[in-house]
Formats: sequence, structure tokens, C-alpha cells
Amino acid sequence: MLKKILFYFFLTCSTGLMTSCFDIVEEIDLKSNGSGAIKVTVNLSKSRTKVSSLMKLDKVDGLKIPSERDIRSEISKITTTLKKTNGISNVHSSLDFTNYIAVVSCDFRNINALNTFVKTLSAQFKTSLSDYSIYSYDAKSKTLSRTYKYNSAGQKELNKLKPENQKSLQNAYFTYIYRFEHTVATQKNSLAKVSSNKKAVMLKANVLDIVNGKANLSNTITLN
Amino acid sequence: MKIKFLLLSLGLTLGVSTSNAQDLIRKVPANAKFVVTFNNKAFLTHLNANELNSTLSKIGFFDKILDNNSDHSIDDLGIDLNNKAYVYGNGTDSIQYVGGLFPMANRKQFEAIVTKDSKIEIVDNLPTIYSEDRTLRMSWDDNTIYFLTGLSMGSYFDKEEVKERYGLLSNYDYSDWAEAEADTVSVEFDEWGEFVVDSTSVADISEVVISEDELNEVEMADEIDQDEYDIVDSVLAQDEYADDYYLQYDSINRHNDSLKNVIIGGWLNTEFSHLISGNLGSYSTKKIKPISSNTLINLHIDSLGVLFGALYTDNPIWGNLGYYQSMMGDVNQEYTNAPYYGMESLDAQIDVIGNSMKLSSTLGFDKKLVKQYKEIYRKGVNPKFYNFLDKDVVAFFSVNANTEAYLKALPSMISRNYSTIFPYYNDFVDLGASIFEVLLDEKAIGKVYKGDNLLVLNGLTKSEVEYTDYEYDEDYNYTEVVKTKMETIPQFMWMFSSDDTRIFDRMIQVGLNREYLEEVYSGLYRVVEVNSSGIQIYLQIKDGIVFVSDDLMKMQDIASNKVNTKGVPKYVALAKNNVAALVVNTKRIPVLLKELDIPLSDSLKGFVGELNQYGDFSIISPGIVGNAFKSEAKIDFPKSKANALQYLFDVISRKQNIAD
Repeated sequence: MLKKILFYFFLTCSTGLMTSCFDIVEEIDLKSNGSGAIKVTVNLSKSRTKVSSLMKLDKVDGLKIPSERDIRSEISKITTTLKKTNGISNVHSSLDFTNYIAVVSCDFRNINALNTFVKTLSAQFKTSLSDYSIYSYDAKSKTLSRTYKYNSAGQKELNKLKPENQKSLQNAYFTYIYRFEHTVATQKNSLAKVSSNKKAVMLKANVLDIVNGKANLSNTITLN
Repeated sequence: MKIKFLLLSLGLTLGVSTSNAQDLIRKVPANAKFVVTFNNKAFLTHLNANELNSTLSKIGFFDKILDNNSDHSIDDLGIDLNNKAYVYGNGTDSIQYVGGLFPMANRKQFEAIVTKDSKIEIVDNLPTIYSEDRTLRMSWDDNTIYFLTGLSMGSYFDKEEVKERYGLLSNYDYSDWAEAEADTVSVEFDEWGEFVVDSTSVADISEVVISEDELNEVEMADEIDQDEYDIVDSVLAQDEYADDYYLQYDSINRHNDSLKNVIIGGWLNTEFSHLISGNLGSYSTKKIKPISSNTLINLHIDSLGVLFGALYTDNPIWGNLGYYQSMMGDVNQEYTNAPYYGMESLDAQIDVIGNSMKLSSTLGFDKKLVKQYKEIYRKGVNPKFYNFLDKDVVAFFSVNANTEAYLKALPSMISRNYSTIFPYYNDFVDLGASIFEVLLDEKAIGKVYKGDNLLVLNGLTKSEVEYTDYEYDEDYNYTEVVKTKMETIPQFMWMFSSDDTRIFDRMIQVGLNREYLEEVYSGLYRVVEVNSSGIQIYLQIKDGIVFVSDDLMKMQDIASNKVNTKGVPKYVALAKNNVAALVVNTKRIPVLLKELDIPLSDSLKGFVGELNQYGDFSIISPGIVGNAFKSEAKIDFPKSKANALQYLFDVISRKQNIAD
């Protein structure tokens, strides 16, 4: 979910930065009552040499390269919105401009708070994120669902990149890890794996596959 | 036609119209602070007339000023393209004039252009056109087109007695404005610089009066720790900052600007009358160095100090450049607390030499500084450096500033430069300079860092770069790990001579003890701290030379005496014969950018694609020659056109084609 916001942010505001590899990791620790914590890490350190060079430029191919100040401002907006979102608390963010790693984390009172947050950020970034990334949790059946609906907007942005730059996205990954108090009974995404202690589900997908609609992030996880 | 566009157009055609040069240079006032000479014949000689007209047509030059229904030529403008034209500047502490003198070839043709939609007045018996605010004037006769404009000097008009004399208002004291009651403004010009301004007739625009106390209250009221934009927004949201406030502020500025325009317009006319009547004398032709047939443009400034002092009277750096000269009896007598930089005349010119274009300059200094600079700046660098100027060089910068001579000269330079700017503390400045002189052992420091440097950009190298990755355990708990990968990075090498490396040896030892450095090869060290680009830096001291580089392989070659590269003779000559040289091997840039995968904007792609046809770009200085510091910037254009100027026009033409 947060991945979407940050991904959209990087895709639309700094396509130049995407000409190299990066990692986005979304972690959700979900309690049985539906509350929990989320942490999103955007790691561009694999491309730090290029990112460092690009950030010295103002524009590349007409696309604005965000400055350190721009990025700090965006992260500040995200955390401000998070703090104001009903059901969200303990908001933290960090930016490391040596290794180019950004981290945003917060606690949520229930799974709906995450969806409210997605809607709030959708409005802030004027996107339709909330249309295609929705979470639900049924405490009774202990089922977490993530509904993912493919949006072609990302592919349109991707098509603006030169083929050689698109290729370099082959080393960009999105990972989500959901951890639970109870063991996982079933999970329905073939790309995802269940941990050996059965209390976590991880999916790692290539960003290019996600943008092109080849990787589906949807999942329904039922707990024991 | 707008007068400002015509001026711009004439400026463009200056490039293309020699010489009865003396005719017009004699009309340049004797006290001009700068004179720019446009050698129009040189432009015409180097340019193909048809191509020139075609290019000017493409950029819409003729459309703006001539009937666009037919083919036109630059000759149709009526300007004499075989004589030199001049732009000059002169003035006083209250106004700086910029004037232009263009040779006339065909008055009828010229008048056909200017009379299309301009109001022509007869002033000083000359047909004249003014700009809308009357601060720019153009007049002409059978031989010359004159332009004159004026720049009001803020430092003069900010003086209380001046404001009072001309009825100018302070935009921080709005009560003045409220008290001003008037209907019209009239200014009478008696003679040079003397006016009687009646400001009592200014319309009463606003009734809102805000005192300074009220403004202070506004500023103090919002001391909240929040984002700076929030602070600005919150202040602007207050009533005191509503539209009325800005309307009043704007009204006062417009009132002052209107008055200044009237005053400047009057001064302009007086100056103009003096100019055409010959009362301003004639600029000495001896001041301008002989202009060759290859020189396109020449600039001569009598005294850089006087010019900057006049233009930037308020600026503590540039304005002060002029103070010394003013102390020596020039126009600005009031500036007596002057630092002294010793700069005198400046000559610069642009020449076309085959397919190269060269900008050369000569900056004069006083005798003492010339002596000091001769001792400081020396030609050439350590001969051992030259081997690194090999065929793979993408760019290099060499400079030799003798540390010992510099440190010896520094106290007297500080004392001369700054004791006058702080007259009350001049004894302390002198004392500080003396202490500096006594405490420093210039010879010892000069041995540690001799002052000769060479920085070479040698293309690309593969370097191990660290990055942060994640490893997951079987329960998908992850930990951050540092991994490495090979990356293509620009390879640089910086070297400087040291006859006494004990301090560097000690620094390395401290670096090793504190784990800032690690020894990767005998005598070769890696800086442990990695910057944000991830580039690893290595250093070593070898045979009295300190090397710093990001190329481990080359550093290992140096450490094991395996350097077998040889300097390219032309690069070695540039480094050897100059005190400073910056050279770019332009041909290699496209490949470099491609290998680095640096994205280029569409507008740059074409230009970068052509760079492999260019020769070198260089900026060099042989240092002090005679009593002046000389420098030269030169670029070798592709040989696809007959000369550099034709190539430049071709680039403009092609750019316009793309735009169309």
C-alpha cells in the first residue's frame, strides 16, 4: 500500500531515478484483533552512485529530479497526513541521504485505518491508489485479504523510459512481509511463500513485472 | 517599432557590419569607463552573406522590423556594415550611462524601418525616438545612429537630502506618503544635473497608514516553531498584509520610479546634447589595442576598479574595488575607506582563427602586485606529472602557485587590501598580518605543499561500491547487510609535490590508528569513510608526490613503479608553458556520457553527438606578462564549415530548423 504511494511518487516525480535498481520492502505485523504496525523501506543504495549524480541535476529529459529538500518535504507531508489519520499512531520516518534509504513506519488501530490512510494519501497525491490496493481483515475467520487491482498508469509512465532504462528495472524489487501472531493455514498467491515457523508470508516481485501487470500482489491469508 | 527591439536588432547586426573607426570612436566620451568595439567587417569577412541572411530570416529577425513579404538582406537596414560600432559606459555617482554609436550607411533605408510605427520628435535638431518611459533615446544623422540610456544609482537616490530634493518617498515610512498631497509632478531642467522637482502634486492613492511599530508587532507575534512556508503564509494572512498594504507599497515605488524616470530622462537629454556638441571630449584611440581583421569584438576598460566602484557603490566586494582609484582622484571622491586590489585596465577580445574561436584577456595590475604575482605563479608543474597527461586524458587542470612566495606575499596583501576598509581597525589588521608573518615558516610550509597541482580526469574505471541489502532468515525476519558491487565511475587522479612529507606521513599514521584509513597495498591507503556516491578514495606518497585517486589499479601501478604512460606532447606543452591550464578533450565526452549512462535532455543530445568532431577546449594562463595577467579560452570547432563563425551560425540555423 505505502509501496504504491512511494512507487507512484518515484515513478511520476523522478523517473530518472528509476533508471537503476532499488528495493521497496513493506512489512506488516498484524495482531489477532486487527491492529498492528506497518513499515515501508525504500532502498536506492544499490544505485547510489547514479542517484547521487542525478540528484545534482535539475531535470532529465524534461522530468524534474527531486532535490533532497523536495524529498524531505514529501516525506514530511506523508508523516503529517499519517499523524492526522484516525487510527494511525506512533508515526516515524527517516531519510538517509548517504545510502539513499527512506523509511516510514506507523501503528494502526485496525486494518481499516490503513485503508483510510491509503484514501487520504490518494487524495493528497491526486492518484487513484485506493482503487486498486485495499486491505481487509476478518477477526472471526482470521483472514487477511489484500486486493490488488492492476493500474496501467504505471506502465504508461514506464513506456516513456528508453528501452535500456526499462531493462535496468529488472533489478528493482518490491517485497512484502506479513507477520502474524498465529500460524498461517493457507495463502493464495503462488508467488508468495510461508515462513518455516508458519507465522509469516513473504512475496518478492520484480517491479517491472508489477508495472506490466505480470505480477499480482493480491492475496488471501487465513490463519489458524 | 519598439525602440528597445531596434536596439537589440542593431546589436545583432553589429556582429555583421570597419573602418573608418576613428570617426565614431572620436564621438565616444573621453571619460568612458568601458568601450566595446564591434569589428563589423570581421564578421562580414568570416561569414557567408547568403547564409547570414538566411539564418537571420529563419530566426525571424527581418520579420520583426521589415516587411516580411519579400526576401531581405542585412544591407536593407541602412547600417554601415563596413565600419566599427561602439558601445560605451560613463557616468557619475547618480547615473551610469550606456551609449551606442552605430555607423549609418543609408539614412533613407534606416528611416524606412524606424518610422513604421514610431513617434519621431526633433531634439537637438536630430530626429529622435524615446522609449515609453523616456529613459532610452535614439537619435540619428546622416553618419551616425546614437543610443543612450541611463541607470539610476540607488546609493545616490537613497540619500536623504537627494530624496528630499526630488520628492522621493521612503517605502518604509508610509506616513510620508499619507502627508503627500499633490496632483501633478513637474521637473524643470536648468542645466547639467540641476533640477527643481515639484512633488507636491502626487495623487493621494492610499489612506492606509501603517507605522513601523505596528509592523514590528506583526513580525514579533508569530514566533512559532513551524515550517518556514507556514510562517510566511500566516504572516501574509494577517490584515496588515492585506492588499491595501501592497497597493500602498507598490504606489510608493511607482511614484518614485516615475520621478526617477523624469529625472533620468532630463539628465539623458543633457548628456546627449553634450555628446553631440562634442563637450564630452574624445576617447583616446591609443587606449584601445590595435584590432586585427580576425577580431570580432574588443572590450577595453580603463580601470576595472573605477568601473566596479561606480556600478556597485553599495557592494562591499565589488564596490570596494573602486575605492582605491577614487582615493587617487577619480570621480567618487567620497569613498575613502578603500581596500586595494591593485587591478587596473582590462582588455578582452574575441578572435576567429580558422576553425577556432578564442577569447583572450589582459588584466593589468600595479607594479607591486605584478612583482608578487610573478613570484607566486610559475609556469609548469613537477616534470614527473607530465607522464599522466597521456592519450586517455578526458580533461586536466594544472596550476602552480608557489606556496612559499604566496605566504610571504600574503601579509602585505592583507595589510594593503583590508586596512583601508576598516580604518578604525587598520592597526589591528597590520598587527594580524605581522603576527601571521612571524608565526609562519613560509619555507617549511612551502616544502610540505609546494603549490604545483595536477588534476586529471582519465575516463572511466570499475570500482567496488558498497550498498545496503537485506537478508531474510527462514521466518522472514530480515537484517540489513552491506554488500559490494562493481560500478563504472569517472576515474580521477590529483597529485601535488611535497619535498617534506613528514606531516603527511604522520597524518596517515593517525588515520590508520583511528581507522580512518586502511593499508590496501604497501604504502597505498584506502579512505574508510565512503561518500554518498559510494566512490572509494585511495592515497599514497611516492617520490615526493602525494597522489589521491579513485583508481585502485593505477594507484597500484604507481606504488609498484609500473606506470608506463607517456604524456601527449600538446598537453605537456600546455601544462609546461602556463601557470594554469584547464583542457578538455571534447572528443571523448560523448563516449564518456554514454558509458556512464548519464541521461541527456533532447536539446542536448544533438550537441553532445557532435562533440566527437570538436577539437580541444582549453582555458590557459601564462601568468604575468609585462604588467598584466594574461589568459585565453579557446575552442576548436568542427571543420565542416570554413571557419568557427560560420560553424556557429550554422548551429543557430539548424537549431531554428528543428524548432520549426
